[in-house]
Amino acid sequence: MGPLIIGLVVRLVLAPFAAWNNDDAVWFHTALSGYYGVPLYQRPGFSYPPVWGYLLQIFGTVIHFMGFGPSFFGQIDDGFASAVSVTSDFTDVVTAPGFNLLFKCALFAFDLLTAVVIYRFVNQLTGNPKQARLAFMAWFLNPFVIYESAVHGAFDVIVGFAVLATLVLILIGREYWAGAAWAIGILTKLSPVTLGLELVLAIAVMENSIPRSTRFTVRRLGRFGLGAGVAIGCLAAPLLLQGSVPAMLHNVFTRAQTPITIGGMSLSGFRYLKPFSWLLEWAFENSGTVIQATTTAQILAIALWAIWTVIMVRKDPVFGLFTGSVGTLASFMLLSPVANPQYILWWLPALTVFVFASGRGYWPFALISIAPVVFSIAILGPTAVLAPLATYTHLIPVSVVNDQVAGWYLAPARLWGASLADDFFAPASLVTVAAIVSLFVVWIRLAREEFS
Amino acid sequence: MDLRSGAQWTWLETVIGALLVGLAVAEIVVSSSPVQRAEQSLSVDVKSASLTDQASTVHLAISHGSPHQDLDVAAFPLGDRPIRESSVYVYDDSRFPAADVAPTVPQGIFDHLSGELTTRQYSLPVVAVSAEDLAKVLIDTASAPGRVVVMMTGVLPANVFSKDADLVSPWVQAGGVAVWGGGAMGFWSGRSGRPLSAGDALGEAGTERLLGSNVVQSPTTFGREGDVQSAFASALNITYSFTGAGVFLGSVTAHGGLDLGWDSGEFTSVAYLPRGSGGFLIFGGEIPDEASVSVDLARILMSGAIYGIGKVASKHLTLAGPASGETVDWALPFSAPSGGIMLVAFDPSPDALYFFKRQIKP
Repeated sequence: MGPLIIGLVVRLVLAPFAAWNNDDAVWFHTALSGYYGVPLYQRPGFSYPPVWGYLLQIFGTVIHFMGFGPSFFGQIDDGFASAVSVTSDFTDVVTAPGFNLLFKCALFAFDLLTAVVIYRFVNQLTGNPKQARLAFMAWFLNPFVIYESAVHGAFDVIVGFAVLATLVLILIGREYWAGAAWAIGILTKLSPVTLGLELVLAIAVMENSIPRSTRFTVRRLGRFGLGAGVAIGCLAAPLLLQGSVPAMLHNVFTRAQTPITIGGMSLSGFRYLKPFSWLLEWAFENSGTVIQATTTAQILAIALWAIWTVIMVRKDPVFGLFTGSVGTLASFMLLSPVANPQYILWWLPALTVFVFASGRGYWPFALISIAPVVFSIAILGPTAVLAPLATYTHLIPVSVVNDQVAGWYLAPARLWGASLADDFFAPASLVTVAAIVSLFVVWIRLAREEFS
Repeated sequence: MDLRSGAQWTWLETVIGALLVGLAVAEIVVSSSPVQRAEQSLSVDVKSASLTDQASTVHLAISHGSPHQDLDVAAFPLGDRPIRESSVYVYDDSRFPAADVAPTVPQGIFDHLSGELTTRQYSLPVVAVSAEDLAKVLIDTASAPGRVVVMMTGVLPANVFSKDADLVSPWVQAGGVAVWGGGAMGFWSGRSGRPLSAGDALGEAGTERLLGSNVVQSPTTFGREGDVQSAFASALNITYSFTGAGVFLGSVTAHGGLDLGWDSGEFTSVAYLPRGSGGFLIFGGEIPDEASVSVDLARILMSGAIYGIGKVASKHLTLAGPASGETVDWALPFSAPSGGIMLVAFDPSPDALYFFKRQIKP
C-alpha cells in the first residue's frame, strides 16, 4: 500500500498547479467543445484519434450539468504574451486547477491500471511477489511517468496501457480482447498500428507445436481481428452518428502535414550538438526527403522486428512478444524525424514487465526513466509548467514565469549546444538513444545465451 | 510456464469492455440533441425597440442556464447598403508560396473559419478554393455581391494578381468582399511550385494598384502591435493586434471605412475599406495564429460589422447565478439612421457558441 499511496499523493499534489500548457490548451478547448455540445472534430484543434477526446468531452459535459461556468476549465492570461511570441511552445491559455486535477485523474487511473497489470503479470511470470512489487514501484513511482501524467498531462499512458494489455491478453490466449485493447491503443494515438504485423505473425506461429495448428491459428487470428473490428466499430459509432468521420480523418491526417522539424528522443537528437545544429534548417527545407527516408527506415525496422518476433516467440513467447513489441515501438520512435519524450510511454509499461521479469536491463531502464524528464524540463525551463500556479495563486508572479520562459528560450549555450536548452537536450536525447540501443544489445545476448 | 492457467485476467477483459462501451455510449449521449440543446440554453431576444431621431432604446430579454456567466452586446447604426449573409471562399493552395504567415495558416484558416461559422449555424457555404477556383470566383463579377473571398496567405497567386493581371479590383468594385492577411496586400505575386523570389515582388506599386496610395505604409514593420482597442474591436472582442502592414487610420476615414482592430499610432490592425459596391477587409500584419484570427473574422462576418457607418456601442453583462430570465433596457448613444441598427449579442467566453444578430429598423 505504501508505494501506491506515495505515488497517488505525489500525483495529486503536482496535478492542480502544473501544466504543459501547449498541450493542455488543446485539452482545454476539447473539453469546452463537450461543454458547449460541439462535436469533437467540428472545430479544428484536436488532431488525434478520438479516445482521449471523448474522455475530455465527457468531462466538459459533466461540468456543464454540474452548473460550473466555462472558467472552470481555465483562462487566457495576457501576462504570458511575450513568452508566447518569443517561443513556439507556450500559449497564454492557462488551465485551471480543478480542470487539471479532473483530467489528470483520468490519466492517474490509467497509471494505476497499468501498474496493476505490471504487478500481476510479473508475479505470474516470476512467481516472486517481491519482484512484482519492485516492478509496480518502478512504474508507479517512476519520475518520468509521474511527470508526464501529473505535470505535463500527456495521454500517452493510455497507449502504454493498451499495448501492455494487448500483449498480456495474447499471451494468455484471449485474442478477442487483445484485439480490442490494440484497437483502443490505435484509436488513442495511432502508433500501436505499427505492431500489427508483429502481433498477427506472433499469434500465427505461437501455437504451431500443437497438431491442429492451422485451423486453430486461423481461429485465433479471427478472434483477434474480430475484437479489433468490434472495438473500432464501438469507438467510431459516435463519429458515424455525428457525421464526423471525414472531419476526424482531416484533423488527424491532413492537418499534420506541415514542414517538419527534427530532434527529440530520436536518432536525430544529435542535432542538438553545436556542430550538427545546421541539420534543423536542412531538414525543414528538405522535408520531403526526410519524411521519405525516415518512413522507409521505420517500415524496415517494423519488418525486422516482426521477423525477430516470429523467431523468438516460438522459443519463448513472453520474450519474443515483449522484446518484439518494445523493439518495434522504440525503433519507430528512434527513427521518427522528431519524437516527443512522452512517446516513451507507449512502450515503457511493456519494458517494465520485461526488465523485472527477466532481471536484465535495469540500467537502461533507469536512464530511460530520468533522461526524458531532463529533456522535458529543458524545453522551456523549470518554471514553464508553473503557469497555473502563477495565474491562480500568485505564489509565483506571472511576470516571473513569463520572463523566465522567454529568457530560457533565448539563452545562449554554455556547453555543447546551440542554445542553453540544447545543452540539456543533447545529453538527454543521446543517453536515451544509447539506453535503447543497449537494451537491444542485451536482448540479442540474452537470445544467444538462452536459445542457441 | 503455461500462462493460460493460474492468475485470473477476467478483470482486464472487463476493464477493456467497460472502457469501450462506456466511452461510446457516453459520447453518443454527449453529442445527442437533448444534451446539446440543454447546453446551448442561452438566448437573447429584442422585446421592443424605440428608435427616434433623437435617441434609441432597446429592451432585451435574456434567458440562460446557470453555467452562463457573461454576455456581450453591441449595437451599431447601419448604412443603406443591403445586408446579406455571404458565401465564403477561402483560398488555400499548397502549390503556391505563402509569406508572413505561420506554415499552418493557409489551410488552418479554412479549417478554423469553417469550424467557427458552422458551429454557429452560419447558413451559407464555406468553401476552400485553389488558385484556379479563386480565379473563377473572381471572374464571376455578377455573383460578387453576397460573396466573401478570404486570402490569408500573404501572397496573391499570379493568375489572380500580377504585373499584367488584376482580377481582384473589378470583383471588389462589383460588390465582393476581399479579406486579406499576411503583410501588405499586392506586394507578392506567387507562382505555382516556386518559392518566392525577388522577381515575384510587385512591391509598393502592387499594393497601391489594389488599395490606392497612402493606404498602407511601406515597408512593412513586422512585429508592431496595436495597444489601443478601437470601439468596434472592444464591442466585438477582436483580438488581432498586428499593425506592421496596417492601414493608415487617416485613410480609413478618408475612404469611409471602419477601424475594427487595435491601433498603434496612426495604424490599425483590422480595417474595412469600402470600394465600389464591395470592399477590402484587411488584417494588417503577419498571421502567426489562424485560430484567433478565424474567431475574429467569424465575429466580423456574422455581425455584419462591415455594414456599419462608424459608431458602435457595447455593453458587458454579467448574468445572475441560477438559471433565469433577465431583461435589460439599453439606451444607445446614437439615433437610428434609415438603415436601422444592428444588435449583436454573444457569449465572450473562449469557444462559446452563442451568437445573436438582429437588424432593427426605425
